[in-house]
Amino acid sequence: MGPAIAPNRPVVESIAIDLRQCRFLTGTSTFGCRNKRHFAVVVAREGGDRMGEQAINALLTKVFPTGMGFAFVALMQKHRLNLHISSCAARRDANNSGPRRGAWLRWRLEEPKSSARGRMIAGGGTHAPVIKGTAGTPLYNRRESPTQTRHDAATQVASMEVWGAAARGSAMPSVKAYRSAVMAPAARGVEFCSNVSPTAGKGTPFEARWYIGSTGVVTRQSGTFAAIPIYFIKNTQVP
Amino acid sequence: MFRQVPLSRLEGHELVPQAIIDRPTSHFTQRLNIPFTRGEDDFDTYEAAALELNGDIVFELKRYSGYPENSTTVYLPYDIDNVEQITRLIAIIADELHIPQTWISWQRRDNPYF
Repeated sequence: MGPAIAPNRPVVESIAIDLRQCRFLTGTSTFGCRNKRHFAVVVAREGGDRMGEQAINALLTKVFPTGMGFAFVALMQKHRLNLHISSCAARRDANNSGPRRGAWLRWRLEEPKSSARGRMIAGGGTHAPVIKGTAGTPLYNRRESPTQTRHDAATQVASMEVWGAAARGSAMPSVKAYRSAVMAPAARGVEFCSNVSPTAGKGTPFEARWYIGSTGVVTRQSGTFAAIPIYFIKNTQVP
Repeated sequence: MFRQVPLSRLEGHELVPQAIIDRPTSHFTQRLNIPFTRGEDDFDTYEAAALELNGDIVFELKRYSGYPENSTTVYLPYDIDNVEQITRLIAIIADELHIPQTWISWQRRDNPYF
């Protein structure tokens, strides 16, 4: 936790979150954060509940000048910041926030400890990552996208398999993932381990692919999908 | 000689990443007037442009969202799997696109087993 920002400081006004400030925060280590990319944003509202990204965007749009909320979220995503949603933060502070009462944005720094990730920083419950199995190496990850949805992640956890369809225009299904050793997982996605090695000669230092025909790669749904068994998965697409 | 072709020209081709260039996709748009199209596939969201080399080999310049921002990856057809042939093609593509070797941060010959 960064000592420079008081836990209950109403940041909307005091930091006057703007993009310059964001860059400053991401570009410095003077807040005592070992990994400058790992700091957290807490978005809270009075009596608030958990908010999805869409709700955060809507909130930020109300708090900030036109467009800045979206830009802010985009900046966070660009820098792969962890996003934490508070369900009860700073009602007392909210009472002093004047016109912005009820809409809060607060910064907290978070140590990049695995034990701290995914837990609620300021009150309320959170959706901790779903972890199944014991992590090994190498680790791979897939980012949340239209083809890696929350539903897909839940299915991967339940089945302990990762499936892959053919790329656009192709008829060759393959499982595709980023290599965590060089491409850190995004804030939302899945990270997994498999005993099945990627198909040699078809990936890059960043990307691994498993094609049907390679040892351990199986087919699903009559060859529509390639699939690999996994023995560890961490699902941060929750909720 | 290369020319840009519609992404639909890639239909039926499985493309494999064979070289990574240390330049953003915008470099190719600005310097070579190659517009990129945003899309998504089974892996991730991306920006891509399809090109044809000497009216023969189709290839793709692409950056998936998870790749470094200042990078563009060259994708070649799946069936081109001989490292020497890949290396030769990458050299030709680099020449055509005015890419010095120093901008190629990785290519297949560097590690054929990836």
